[in-house]
Amino acid sequence: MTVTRSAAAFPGRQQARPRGAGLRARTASLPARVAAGVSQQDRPVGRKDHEVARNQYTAAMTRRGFLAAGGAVGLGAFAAACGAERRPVSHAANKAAGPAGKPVSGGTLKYSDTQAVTTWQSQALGTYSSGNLVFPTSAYLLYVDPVSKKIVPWIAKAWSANADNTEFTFTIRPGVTFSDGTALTPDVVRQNLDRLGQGDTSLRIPANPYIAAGYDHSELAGDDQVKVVLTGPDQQFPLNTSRLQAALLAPRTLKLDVEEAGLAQNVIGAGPFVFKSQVANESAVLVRRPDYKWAPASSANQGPAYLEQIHWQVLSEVGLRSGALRSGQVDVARGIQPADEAGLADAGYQVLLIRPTFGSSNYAAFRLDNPYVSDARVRKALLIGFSREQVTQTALTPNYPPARSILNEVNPAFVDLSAELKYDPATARSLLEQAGWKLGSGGIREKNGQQLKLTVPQDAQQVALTPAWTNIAQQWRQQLGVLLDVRTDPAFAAEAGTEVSVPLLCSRTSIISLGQSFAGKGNTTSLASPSNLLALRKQELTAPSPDAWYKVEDTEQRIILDNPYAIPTFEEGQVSGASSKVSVGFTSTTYPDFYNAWKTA
Amino acid sequence: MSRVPRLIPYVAGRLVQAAAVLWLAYTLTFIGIQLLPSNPITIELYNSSDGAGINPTVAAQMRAYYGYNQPEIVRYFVQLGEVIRGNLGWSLSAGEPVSRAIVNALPSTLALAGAAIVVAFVLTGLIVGFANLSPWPRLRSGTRVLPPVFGSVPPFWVGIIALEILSFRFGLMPVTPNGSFLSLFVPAAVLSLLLAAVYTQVLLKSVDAVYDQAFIEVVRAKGAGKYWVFAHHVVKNAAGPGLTVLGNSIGLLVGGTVVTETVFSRTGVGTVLFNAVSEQDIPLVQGLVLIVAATYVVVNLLVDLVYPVLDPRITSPVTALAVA
Repeated sequence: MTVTRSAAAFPGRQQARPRGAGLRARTASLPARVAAGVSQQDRPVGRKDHEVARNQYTAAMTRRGFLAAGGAVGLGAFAAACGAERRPVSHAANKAAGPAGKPVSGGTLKYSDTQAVTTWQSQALGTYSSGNLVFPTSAYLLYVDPVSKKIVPWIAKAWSANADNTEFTFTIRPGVTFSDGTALTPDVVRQNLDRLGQGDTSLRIPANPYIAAGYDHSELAGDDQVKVVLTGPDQQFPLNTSRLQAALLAPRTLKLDVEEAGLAQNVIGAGPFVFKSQVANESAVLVRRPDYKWAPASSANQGPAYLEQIHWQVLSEVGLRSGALRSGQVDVARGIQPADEAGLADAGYQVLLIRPTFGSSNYAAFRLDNPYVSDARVRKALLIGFSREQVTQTALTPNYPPARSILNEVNPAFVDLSAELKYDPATARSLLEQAGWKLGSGGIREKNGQQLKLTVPQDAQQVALTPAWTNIAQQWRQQLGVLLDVRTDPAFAAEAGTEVSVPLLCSRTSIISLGQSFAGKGNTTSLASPSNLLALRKQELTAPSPDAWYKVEDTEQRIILDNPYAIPTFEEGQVSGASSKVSVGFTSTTYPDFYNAWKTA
Repeated sequence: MSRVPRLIPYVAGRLVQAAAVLWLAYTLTFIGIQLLPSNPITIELYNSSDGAGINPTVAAQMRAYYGYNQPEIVRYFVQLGEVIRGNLGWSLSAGEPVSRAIVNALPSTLALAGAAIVVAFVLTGLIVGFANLSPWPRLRSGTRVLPPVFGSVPPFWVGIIALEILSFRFGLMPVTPNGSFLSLFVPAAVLSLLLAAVYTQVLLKSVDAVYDQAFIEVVRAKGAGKYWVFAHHVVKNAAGPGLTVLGNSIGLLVGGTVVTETVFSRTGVGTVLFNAVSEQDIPLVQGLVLIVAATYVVVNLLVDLVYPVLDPRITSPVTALAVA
């Protein structure tokens, strides 16, 4: 067996990554923990200025988003959620807010996560858990402020692009050091960018696929600048430097091979925390850097972190997280199941909802070359052939409101397309008839002697998806005469990722590019390249500004539902529980913002 | 005295068998994984694509790097050669060498399995003792109900109840392992219920069978009391089947405690194996299967070596004939 790892471009893996969603679970019914996404990632964008709440440059849910979500939930639930307005952070049925007043320095925050982190090698990071643990130890060229949803300076104090977005110049902040004392100079940044863009075959470290796409080289410009030269336009390049896998590492770490660079103690970053110790697969301790003073521009805190230590631990059983919180064994628990939210809120704990700033809603993508769904009429029938409200009401909780687009409601490019998703079984049945699928024996539609039987894979951990899709299967069966096999084994889910014989694939991607995900070469979403989206992918790359990019995404959202290429189901989000003694916000990618977090005695 | 030289060819034979078992386990696992429709490269690329999709050039590079562009038979022999040299390969899903993944998971598993067996021994001893020696008939029959009960309660349920009470209500133990006595003892006790159920059912049955044998009457006729008879004659003669069950359960404990591990937030071999199978992480699955198979082999070898001590007839054809 070869031991080594390839040096191609394969970044962080992502396993099932439990996430929760939702607010105000006053009527919490079916257990539904959300889990595992297919391609979560980090996607930042932000603005520096204003309104960054006092103690966080984090937050995921704006007041507007919060109110919008509240509207979908109903009055009682909304009332329960009112505490949230006090801070522009990710709140939920949150009677008890975190502590008020000036941040307190010191103390240890006990945080429970959902799965172990086996390697710290940057390009192998990808699960939410790995981000929660490793992000606090890292610094990046740029940061996405989740409040303003704009990119803000971090290690790069300024950046600019040439007219056609093929060259980017970053001005590096002086005085930044790694935790081993070495300086983070423009040349170190250049080395990091080359590593991200090119990988290193001899060390078996792959390139980062986002940085590598179109990357040519980096060069020093002047005393404090690094210029990145691309082979083609990519206006998303600055954003990509804020991804979890693009952490700036000390030269010492850059010299290590994939195995050595995977050991936590070898990963030397410039973040506000430093790795101290761990019990493999179980827990880890991070301590703050007393000399840290180069936070992202949007951060209220610009000195060392408030917390002295973070005790990160794995708590894999979802049913125990609420108990761990209530018994004081953890201060913040990630992945609270909906059924526990109301109880926690009633007991005075914070229930924090976080939606990824640039995320999608939960959806099932059509594999366009699959014979069952290659006909657009069939896809359209399936899109409108079930009631999303019924899914939310009977299979989930109000925490999972019906999706209104392929993008989630906090995404700056979100367009409300709920009219396109309106439940219309009569039209759906007629579309299936037109497509040649006639009702056969037992009320199942048939064509050429073949039944209309679809399969959708679920990850075992995606517990909100399984009840949702079981409900959709029932609705399709009753209303349309379509059979749906909801498979929950993870091995099948893993295979289905690249298997065109599986007609539907569930995901909730933190998509930066709808065009890339649904039409890009080698995409695993549609496994096809519809030309209308592919053309828009080019526009995404050449868009002169984020606003122009959002405009492209506006069109893309409509195309995805018109054709349709996917079935949006419910809003994506995650829920954490926190003690009322803890003030914690979240980054645009839903990692806890430990740097700005604090805890009263 | 003469037993030791007689054991040498026996042990040597068993070692050859052991090697054969390990090779078969490795080979069958390899074949089994090849039959799965997808392959670990596309799964890894899919998992790690972060929404970027799979770059065909990268996939091809990776396939070549890991040898997946080679015919199965070539890969099989290349891998086998590496394994014989002690190189278990690289785990794509864990991003670390297979050997490190195993070394990280094994201590947790061994501690849990060892403690569970100890607790199960104690439980088994108490139940079998009470069921046979208690002066009260009702207690004797009552204790015989326990093993089926132990075998019927699902460990995850008992585990969650135990944590609710001990950890959340009374704060006696942490919900995640912290190295304290209770954080090992409680999961071990939960796991031991299933073990004790099996051990006791087997042992009670064979104890009953021994009691039915004529020599017990002889021993009693010589004037031995019931405790003496039980301790010196019955248990020793009844232990054989129990020992075999014990041997098999150890192998099971090393690879099959994923549920208990999950409830108690322990990442042991069972959890790692489960994840490895889910992601078709072939080297990791094969490495873990080898570890589990090796455990079976070693434990069964030990069991077989202990057997003659309990019952000399097994390695002594002469005595066996004489007894017969």
